[in-house]
Amino acid sequence: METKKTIKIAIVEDDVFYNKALTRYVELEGESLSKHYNVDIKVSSFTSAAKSIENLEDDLDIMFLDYFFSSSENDEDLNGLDVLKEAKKHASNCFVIVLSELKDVVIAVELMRNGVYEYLNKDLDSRNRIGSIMHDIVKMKLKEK
Amino acid sequence: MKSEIRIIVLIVITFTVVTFLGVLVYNNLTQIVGNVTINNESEVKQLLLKEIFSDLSDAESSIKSYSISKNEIYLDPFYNAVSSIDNKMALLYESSVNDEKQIPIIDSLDILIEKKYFILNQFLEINPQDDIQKSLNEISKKLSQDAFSNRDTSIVSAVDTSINNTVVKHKRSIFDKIFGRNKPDTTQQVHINSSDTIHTTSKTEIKNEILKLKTEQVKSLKVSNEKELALILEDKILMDKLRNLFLRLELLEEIKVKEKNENAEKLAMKTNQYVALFCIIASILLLVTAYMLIVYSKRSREYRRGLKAAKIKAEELAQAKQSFLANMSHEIRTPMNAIVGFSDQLSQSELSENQKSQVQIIQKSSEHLLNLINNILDFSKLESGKLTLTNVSFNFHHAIKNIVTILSQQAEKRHNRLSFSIDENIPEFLEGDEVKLNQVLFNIIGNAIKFTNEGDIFLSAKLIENSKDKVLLELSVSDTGIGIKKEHLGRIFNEFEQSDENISKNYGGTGLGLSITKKIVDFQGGKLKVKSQEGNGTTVTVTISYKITENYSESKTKAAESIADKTIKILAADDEEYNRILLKTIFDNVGVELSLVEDGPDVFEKIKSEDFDVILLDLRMPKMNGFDVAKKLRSQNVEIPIIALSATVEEDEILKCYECGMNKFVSKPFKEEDLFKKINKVTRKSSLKSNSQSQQKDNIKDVVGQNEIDYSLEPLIAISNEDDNFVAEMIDVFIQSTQEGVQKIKIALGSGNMTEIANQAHKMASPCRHMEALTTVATLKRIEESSRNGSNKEELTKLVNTLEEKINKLTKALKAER
Repeated sequence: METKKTIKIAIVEDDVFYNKALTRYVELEGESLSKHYNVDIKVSSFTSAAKSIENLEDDLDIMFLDYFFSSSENDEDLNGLDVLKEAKKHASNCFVIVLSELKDVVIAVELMRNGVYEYLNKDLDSRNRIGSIMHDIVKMKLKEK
Repeated sequence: MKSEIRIIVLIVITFTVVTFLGVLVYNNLTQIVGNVTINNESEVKQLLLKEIFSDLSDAESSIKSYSISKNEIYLDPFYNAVSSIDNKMALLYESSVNDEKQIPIIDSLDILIEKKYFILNQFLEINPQDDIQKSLNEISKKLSQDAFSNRDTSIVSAVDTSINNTVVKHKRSIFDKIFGRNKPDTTQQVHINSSDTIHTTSKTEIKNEILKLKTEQVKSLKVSNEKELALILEDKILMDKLRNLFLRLELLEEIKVKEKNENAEKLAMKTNQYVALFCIIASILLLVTAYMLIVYSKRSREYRRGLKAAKIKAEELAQAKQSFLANMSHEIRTPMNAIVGFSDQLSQSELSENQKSQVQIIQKSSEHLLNLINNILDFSKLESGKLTLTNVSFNFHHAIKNIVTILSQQAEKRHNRLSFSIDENIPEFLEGDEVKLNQVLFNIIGNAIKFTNEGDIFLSAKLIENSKDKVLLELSVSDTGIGIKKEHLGRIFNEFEQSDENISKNYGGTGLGLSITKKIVDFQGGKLKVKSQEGNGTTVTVTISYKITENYSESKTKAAESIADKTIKILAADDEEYNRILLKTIFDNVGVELSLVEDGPDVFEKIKSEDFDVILLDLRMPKMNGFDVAKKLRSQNVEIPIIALSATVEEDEILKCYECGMNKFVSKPFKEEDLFKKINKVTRKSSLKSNSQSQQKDNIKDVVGQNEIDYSLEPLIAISNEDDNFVAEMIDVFIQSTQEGVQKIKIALGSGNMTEIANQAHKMASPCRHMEALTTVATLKRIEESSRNGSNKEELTKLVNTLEEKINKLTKALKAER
């Protein structure tokens, strides 16, 4: 408990605007979390699924993941599910939160089966949820230790 | 438990073994100590033997000294030695009472010592010099007799010898006394011989006599010498025998000692073995006990840890259950709203009787479901402790009156009379959570109405305690309804449980109401009690304390203040009583005049007679829904700003609000602050417009209609952490990405790539939503849907044009903001 635990968070979102806003928000939440808990929050953001898989860290704690990628050049075939699978394979302790516009139940169920922690809509209401989810996960991670 | 018993048994065994071994070792040690004493005894015996031997030699030497010197002094040590020998022999006998081997030896030792005494006695009797002396004396007497008178000398010598004889006899008698034996009287013979010689009297005879004497003397000397030699020999043999006996005794003693020593050694060895065994067993047992203890404590620690983990897990599970319930309820509410909304609309369209009744069933059941979900949400909030108290000053009397006024309509429907009384002593202004008070009373009175038909419902508020700054109130609601069975009273606060299974069929409800109410009351530190008799009605009593305040100007937000400053009149239309109470409460608190209507058509009647600054419209109302009201108002050129109030989060519905000419959307459950802010916004705009007077009705559409582009920087500012650069940067990114998006859609439209259009529209939606550009989002959604569904290109082109227009407006507005 004496040493600060670093909580690594990755944001995978191809929309630059949403990526920036989300990163900013997550960083802000992280700041307030590190005031209350003995943690360091490290946020890294990726604008493509391929980049996120390339830079996947084994000790990643939280991943905010977009489901639907379209704007990138190379990863036309990669979607959130692929990133989720990779993340679960390499960073098994990672909590993956999927943020999406899609309200497709089939996809949601498939994501749940692959161990997604939360499935959130990309609206402003979700933002509060993001904060509380981060809070919960940080608490869990601290307990694990 | 098992291992505890095992440890106790082990400790008992250890104790027993240690005690047993201890006793064993003690016994052995006692025996060893016994052997050591025996050793001492045999040493004493050996010493005795040695002393006897030395005493014997003492006696011998003193006798020899006496026989030589005839001095009686030498007899004393002899006597001493003899008595000492006697004593020591007695001791020797004593110490060897039980020793069968030693007793005969000691017996023979005794006999030999006697013999020794006898020999010593004989030594005393051998006295050659004495005889010679006597003969010489005789001769000299004879010689003198010859010269003077024979008689006298012979008498003298006779007397002399007799004296001598008595002395010797006396001496002998002592020996006899000691030895108890008669000895041959050698001196008398000598004496007789010598007296015989005295009577032969002639010179030659004397010469002969002397010669004879000489030879006799030599002879006697020889005899005595021989005797002495024989005695010495005898003595020597005796001494050898004695020595031999002593040696044998000593040997016996030594053997005995050796045996004892061996025994002692064996015992010591045995004891050593026992001690070693004892140590080994004790240490093994101790080790086992220690091991068991360690295992036990480790296991109990593990159990404790397991329990702790299980507890944490259970708590987490409970937490997960709560959040799942909350999330689910939240997610379900959205489609439920759609069902309710569309079934409302369906019911207003032309339907056959059959269809109408079916739609009514849909409406009823979905309403019930929605109610359930709302209750679950409340409940999960309560369970997860997310419930917070918002303590504000409020007018208690007004609050009670409001509740009664609003609920009396509902009561009337079931032909019930709802009346109330308020204790005059209750201060007008109290501080507490008024919303929660409303919720509690609403639930309790609602229940009372539900379970009472053509009866009376009475709400009373009494003052129980009045201290300096606090009051304790008793609020009781009694009805004359069906009551609750005694056996069901205990369960009525259980979640999802109604006192009777038939109740939900006949009266509806989720079974959560009362348990939520109780939880809310508990949360505020109050008490809720239910008294009931089946068939005789129910009385629910809530005791709760509130702080006393002078006024209610405190705890007001800026928005509330600004709204209070404005002296505006608000009209609210909502069919749900609870919402009406809530709105009434909220606006009463800030002193804003609020008129309430129950349904859409009432709005038109109200605005005919009164002027309002804002209309709050519920979207779902039975006779005329919010959309239609707004549309109709706008079509009648009514310019009053309209704010939609709805539980819906469905985008389509929100967008529809704007399309119908509403100005703002507030989602239920709303925060006062949020509502006030939005009211402020719309009233400011409309008052500005109306003040300028330059623009009339034609322009109103610009203000309130589709032409004004809606957006908000607030979400960005909220996360900017007062960093203006961040907001500016984000605006740039937004402008760039949306412009790019529009261009990509246009290109895709040209090439007929429908998927690309859908994808791009999809991607653009979330940034727009983030900017709260909801009409733009609506357009994007339409584009996405149309392109996915393969709508005709014409319609799509039209939509894309609208989008471009909106994005351009947004860009312009945002650039101006920078």
